[in-house]
Amino acid sequence: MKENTKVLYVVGVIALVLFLVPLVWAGVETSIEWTSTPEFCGSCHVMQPMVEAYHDSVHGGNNPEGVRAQCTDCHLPHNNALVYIAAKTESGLHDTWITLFTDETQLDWQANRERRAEYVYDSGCLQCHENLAAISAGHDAHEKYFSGTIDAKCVDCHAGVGHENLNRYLLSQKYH
Amino acid sequence: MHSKSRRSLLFIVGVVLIVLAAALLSSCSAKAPKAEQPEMVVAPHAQGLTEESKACISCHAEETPGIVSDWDHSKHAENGVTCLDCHETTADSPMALKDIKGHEDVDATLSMLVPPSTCAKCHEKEVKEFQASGHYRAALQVEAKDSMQTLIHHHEGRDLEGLDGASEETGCMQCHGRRIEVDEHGIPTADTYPTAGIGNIYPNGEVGNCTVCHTRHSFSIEESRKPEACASCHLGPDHPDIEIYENTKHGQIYATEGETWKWDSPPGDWEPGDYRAPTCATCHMSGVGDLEPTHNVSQRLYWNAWAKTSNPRDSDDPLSGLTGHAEEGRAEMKQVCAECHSDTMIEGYFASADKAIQLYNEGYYAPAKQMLDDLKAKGLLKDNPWADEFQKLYYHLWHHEGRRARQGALMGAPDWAHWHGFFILQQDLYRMQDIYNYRMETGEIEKP
Repeated sequence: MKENTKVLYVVGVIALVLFLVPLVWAGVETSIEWTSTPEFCGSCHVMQPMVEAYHDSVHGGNNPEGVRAQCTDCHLPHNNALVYIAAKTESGLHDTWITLFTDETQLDWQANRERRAEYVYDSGCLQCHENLAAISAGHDAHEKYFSGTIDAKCVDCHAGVGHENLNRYLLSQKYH
Repeated sequence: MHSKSRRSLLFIVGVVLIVLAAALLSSCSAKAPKAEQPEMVVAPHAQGLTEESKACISCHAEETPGIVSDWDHSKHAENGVTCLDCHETTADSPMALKDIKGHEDVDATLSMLVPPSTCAKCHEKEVKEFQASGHYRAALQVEAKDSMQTLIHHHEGRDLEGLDGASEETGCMQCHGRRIEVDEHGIPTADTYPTAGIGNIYPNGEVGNCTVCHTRHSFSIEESRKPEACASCHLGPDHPDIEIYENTKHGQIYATEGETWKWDSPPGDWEPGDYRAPTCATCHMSGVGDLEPTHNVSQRLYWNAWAKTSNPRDSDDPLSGLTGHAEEGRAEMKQVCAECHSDTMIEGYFASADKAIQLYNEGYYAPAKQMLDDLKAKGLLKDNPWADEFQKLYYHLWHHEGRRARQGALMGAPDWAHWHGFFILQQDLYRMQDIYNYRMETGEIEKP
């Protein structure tokens, strides 16, 4: 009798774990996915010019194939899952803090754009442009980038990438 | 108690100062041995220098320090695009340098000339657009026109052996470009080089010259966005486009505050707010608003505003004077205007400008051409057009005054549309009519 209860208890726990693990996994995965979209990021007023400019750009789906990158594809490091999660947590807390406790209308976005290399990650770019290294021969700047002879980030050269007309949208928000 | 804490504070401050002094000294002494084996830093901003490039720079910093310094401050240096990336070529290239003095120890095959295909290695879209534009034919058209060659070598060059090319070498080709020839060493000949012209034809047949607007060796986007980049060619009596710009309200605003504007925004994102008035590049090339940036300067034009008579553009051939598509071009140009102006203003502006074009076509060119044809049919034109009062006036009517009136009107420059344009046009026409009547009535060309 006692033995039976024990077995039942163990089986019950295992069953519960087997049931809960995928559920928690799915929940975490879904929330990571959801909080990576321009729809989520654009739900804060301050991000709207960035999202509008994103929709105008090739990376925002304005291309014949309609493929689009998510915000976090470029704006989080993709070295490995741990770094990714850590950076996501850190930037999420940072953005929440800024939105709740500071006057975000006072942010100088033009100055922020100048330091874009700090928040656009080459590991993100190369996640999609994975064959760029292999085809960079003869393209002087890319060749040097991959051989490590220059110390430049993707966005040092591709300054406006991902956000077409951003200047314009920032301006219109300023006078909205 | 009080003095004790003060003493300990002094102690801490003292320790910190000593540590700082030691650090300073050690950093100085650490630098000292380096000074004993100096490595000359000739390009402090450059990245990714290969050994070969270092070899180029170490000599050229002495020989041509201006070139090295220019390049060192450029985006190219910042991104590791160095000498050989542009100046290395293949041995079978007609531009390959051979047996050059002072370059005996250089293994790479070098070329002094850099054709557009080299720029296209990284800037492919821009080069393609350029090749579809009117700029492409700049030298080809001068070369193809017999009347132009006669003007240069016979009338201006006086057919003087060895001197008859001087006007072309110092004039025409510095804007239009030239078919560049090279000697047996691959060095361009003195008759055909240097040329700062936009339509250069290279020994391998390639056409174009990016360094007209993005001058060597800094190749700057900021420079090319300023009206001065266009002004070294688009000026003077026959197409005073920089003077026209200065005459506009846009030019006025640029002149008074342009130095404070933002010139280095990425292509496609250089927008009002960065500047308060457009420059040549803004309207004719930039990706303002939803427009795509383009290096095809003909794309946003409706009229040909330089030929004898103005027609709407309708051709994909860059060699045609009508390259471009009138309706699409005008629509794009209006999109530029709409960034700052109301539809009412835009429609009114173009309605007046189009009227001026038609006035020139019908009121001036058509009657001038009719008189020319009549006189020609009766043999009442001199063989030498440049010694014939009627033909000189005819030339000035379309080539000088006619362009000033049309381009002045299309680009909003009142003084050029009127005083330098239509006012002189009516004077030309009356004088031509007098000469015409005399010749037709007497049956002879007036006495010299």
